[in-house]
Amino acid sequence: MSELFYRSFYGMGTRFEMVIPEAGSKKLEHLAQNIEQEVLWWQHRLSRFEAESDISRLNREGALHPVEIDQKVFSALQECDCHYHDTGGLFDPAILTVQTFWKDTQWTGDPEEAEERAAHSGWKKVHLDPQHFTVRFETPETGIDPGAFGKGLALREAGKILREAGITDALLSFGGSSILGLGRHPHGPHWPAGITNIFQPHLNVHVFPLRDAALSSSGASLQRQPAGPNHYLPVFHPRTGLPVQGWRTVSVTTADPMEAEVLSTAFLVANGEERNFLTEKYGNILQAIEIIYKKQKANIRTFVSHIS
Amino acid sequence: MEKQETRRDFLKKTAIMAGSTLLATQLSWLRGYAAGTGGESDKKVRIGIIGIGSRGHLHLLHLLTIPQADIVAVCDIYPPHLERAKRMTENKAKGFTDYRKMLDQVKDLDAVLIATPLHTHATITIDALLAGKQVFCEKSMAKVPEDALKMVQTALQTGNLLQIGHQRMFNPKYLRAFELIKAGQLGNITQIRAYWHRNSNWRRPVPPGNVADFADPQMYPDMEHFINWRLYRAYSRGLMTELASHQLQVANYILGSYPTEIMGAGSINYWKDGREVYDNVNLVYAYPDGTQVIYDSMASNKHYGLEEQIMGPKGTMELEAGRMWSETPPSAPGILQLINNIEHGIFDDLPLGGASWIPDKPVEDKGLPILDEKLNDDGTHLELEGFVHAVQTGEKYRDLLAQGYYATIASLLGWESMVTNKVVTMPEELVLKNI
Ligand SMILES: NC(=O)c1ccc[n+]([C@@H]2O[C@H](COP(=O)([O-])OP(=O)(O)OC[C@H]3O[C@@H](n4cnc5c(N)ncnc54)[C@H](O)[C@@H]3O)[C@@H](O)[C@H]2O)c1
Repeated sequence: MSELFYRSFYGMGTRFEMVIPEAGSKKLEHLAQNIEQEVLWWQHRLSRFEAESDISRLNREGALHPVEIDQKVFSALQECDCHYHDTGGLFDPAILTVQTFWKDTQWTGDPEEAEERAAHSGWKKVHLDPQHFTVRFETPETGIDPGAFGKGLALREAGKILREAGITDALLSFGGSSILGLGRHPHGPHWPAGITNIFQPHLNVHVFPLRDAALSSSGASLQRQPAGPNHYLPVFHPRTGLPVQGWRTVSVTTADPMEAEVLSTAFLVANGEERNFLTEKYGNILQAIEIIYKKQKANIRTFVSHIS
Repeated sequence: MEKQETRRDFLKKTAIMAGSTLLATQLSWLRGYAAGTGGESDKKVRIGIIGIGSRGHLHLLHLLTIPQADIVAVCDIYPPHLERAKRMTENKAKGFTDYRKMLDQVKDLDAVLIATPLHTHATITIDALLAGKQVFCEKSMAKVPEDALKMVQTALQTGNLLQIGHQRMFNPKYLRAFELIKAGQLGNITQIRAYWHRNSNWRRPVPPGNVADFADPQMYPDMEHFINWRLYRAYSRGLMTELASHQLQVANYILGSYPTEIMGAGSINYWKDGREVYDNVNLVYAYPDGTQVIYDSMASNKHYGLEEQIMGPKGTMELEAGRMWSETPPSAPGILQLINNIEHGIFDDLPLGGASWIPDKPVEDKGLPILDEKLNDDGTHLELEGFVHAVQTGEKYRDLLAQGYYATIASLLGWESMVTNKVVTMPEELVLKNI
């Protein structure tokens, strides 16, 4: 029997799991603790549900005055800024009020109203001051939702901790929607990470061969949960302010977990032309696929495949 | 009929426990159930009920649905209650106002069920045991520890059954929890917190009438004392004996011991309406292994309701809610498969990923149910079936009696700690030597 080390804990509103194909040791135990601390550090800094987090403070006060935040968090927001520009605005983690508006009001479906909402919020209204590590919002409708990048950040840091400690092979999963495969499976050339059919969770629709790569998945119209008059919280197009239509998920693999996270969201909201733009801009995407569910049947569309 | 299905439901739900060591070594009162034996004998158990107020009435209704039980006598000093009880049995049961007459006069009376106010439990129980009856007595056992001890001793001397009304010991949800706890699901238990919060004056409306017409006026100066006995020190220890005892019983059972040191503080800080018992009680119970039970009960806020929270290094259970949580999340199915594959040298595709929801609010971890199905009965029906079963089969349930005893002692020592403002140590003479 091959030995392995396994740990799991709750973090960022989901479960974090790590599998390292090595016999358990004090060193691994210690690394696992460091990783948990790191993930929870990011959670306490980013969570919208912790009143004292940097993001909660920023969302409360950002429209009133420049808010000073932690330097590491600031760098993370700078990275978001780059991705916002590189994706042509398709990745926009500052449309929180578009979401809450949808959630809390009886939205009529009027596209003009949605666009108006979107116009008043979003990353274009976020201003970063790198000299003072402060952030300011141009409008009170602006609010940051770290849901679309926080797990990517934390996963990247966790990978770093392992690599620096000389661990070459490991599989890390953040609730299945963000996965990092370091090195390879002990009995094969990579980590065979399947994307499951949402209607038949034991069946794989597609399998990504992860080798030193991250995999992120985002879905539209899947988030059925009680939330105000509109009983589910969809993903929104940042420019139109409209919810993304259809039962679809997008999964992307690239070397960096944060980038995978950004791109799975951006591809999900992008139209055909915008997808071409993204593929050109991000030349290092390994694979990107979309799964479209029609009458519970899963159809795959591949936009990028640099893996044979 | 719904009630009659309970036993079958129970059997179904405890089938998981049928082969368990817990059942083999403890929980004597359930063995007959789990094996599905006993209780089918033709000979009906002839029962008399003493005290048919609120709880006694409920017991009567349950007993009427148990085919092996025959309610042959009912006894209550208060005429409206006695009349109601007789009516419920379609006047088949003979009515008494004096339980001694009932014990003397009813031929072949096998058993009695006592649901009178607390201060009368000891005398009635002891008289019934001495008269050769099998006894079910509601909790708590007595108003002072010495009386509870005497009740146990009398049961042992006479060799008769004495069962105390702690229905949680018959509640499948609790039994399943005990089983999981003993199996180490939570690790060694390191703390129990329990509470019972209500926001009400705990008073019952006092009907007109002259108490001297049916009761000893020395005992009850007026109708108010007769009806609201649980608020006065002559009859009750208030929240401790009426509510806390249930939860202290559960804590004792889980910790496998009784508390050895108790410190408490109580007061009347809201219902200053002439009552003599505290409207809020707050206690710490220390157990020999260093574990503490933190208990409180109050009558001026109901937000937190009622709960027993069982905590250990591996997880948590909330027994009233019937839910449990692990300190570490359960593994995702795909990860479990990965672990299994690695261990067995298999390389195969894994169902690992997919889009998860964007949490719109902090993901509320609702935990897992302790028992998958919901049962209507809280154990009350089953404890009565258990009683009837024991009378038929001659079982004595001594471990259950010890549970009732130490729950009562814990409640009463808690009371003592609060009224004396002192840390109370469990007196050696109250420790049961022969159970
Ligand atoms: N296990 C439980 O969950 C539970 C729930 C409620 C009550 N109880 C217990 O049941 C007992 C009764 O409580 P209750 O709420 O029904 O009280 P209650 O006041 O409604 O009923 C008590 C009855 O006993 C009668 N009585 C008093 N002295 C008597 C005597 N000497 N002989 C015959 N009858 C006499 C009264 O007339 C009255 O009808 C208490 O010990 C209480 O703790 C247990």
